[in-house]
Amino acid sequence: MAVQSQILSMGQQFSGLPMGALIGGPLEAAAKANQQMAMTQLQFMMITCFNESPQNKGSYDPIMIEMTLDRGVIEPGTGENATPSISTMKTSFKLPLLTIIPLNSLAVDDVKIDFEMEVKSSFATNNSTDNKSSTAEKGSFSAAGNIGPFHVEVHGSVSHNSSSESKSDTHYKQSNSAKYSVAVHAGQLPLPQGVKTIIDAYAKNISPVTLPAASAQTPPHQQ
Amino acid sequence: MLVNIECPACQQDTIKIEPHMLAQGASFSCATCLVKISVAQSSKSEIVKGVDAYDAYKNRLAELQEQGNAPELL
Repeated sequence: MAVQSQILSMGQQFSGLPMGALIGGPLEAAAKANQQMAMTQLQFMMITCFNESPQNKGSYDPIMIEMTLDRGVIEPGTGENATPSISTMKTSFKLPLLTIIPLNSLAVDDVKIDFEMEVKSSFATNNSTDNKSSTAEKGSFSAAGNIGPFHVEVHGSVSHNSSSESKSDTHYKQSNSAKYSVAVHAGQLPLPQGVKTIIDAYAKNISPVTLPAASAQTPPHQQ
Repeated sequence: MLVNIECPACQQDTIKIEPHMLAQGASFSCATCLVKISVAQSSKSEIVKGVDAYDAYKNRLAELQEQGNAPELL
């Protein structure tokens, strides 16, 4: 039981992980990137293709560019044997710059978050106790006599040897490995419907309008 | 990048325009009525400005994409 308590449970291993930040972080970053890209697109469109109206602040007029249209016209020759000739007729028309300049709508369209974590935990205790005890004893004794002229001889020797050895091993091993990868892909998105509608409306105005005979006498803005 | 606009003459076909070439003075024709369109001299500076802004915009988007590919750890 003492050994098992040393190993952290799987729940404990994962409890400290900031899962919210790991998953939410890249998604938040992708949203921020999309916002930046949309703002860049908006700024490009408004600064490049529109001018703020000097009379009406807050209202923007499209920048118009003048285009030249060259059309070949066959003119019949004058006279009986005259050959027809081809001449070029030039017409100029205006169209908004917005219809000529391409608009890219780039955005993060795919975010993949891969999180892989491997926890290896092992605990081992090797308790080996060696008690080596050796005792050696040695003793010798010798005695001699002759008390008359006082000759006494006593020899004694005691020897003792003792040794003790103790050894204990504890082995604990833990390894963690984590892999976290985020793949973000930004791709072309279709233009927003509102921008498409504006461009379509402008593009339709490129086509010349045929005025009725009566109203053709007076310019349209005076009607 | 090509931009399609409806032919103002015949209105039956689209004319494909390459803005960079248009800014350099190229003309583009309709495949149906063979009419040619080009930018008038008076508007050349406007379209050059627009094309330059488009290139800057593309570079900015590429920068943003680059930042996304190599995010900085905070």
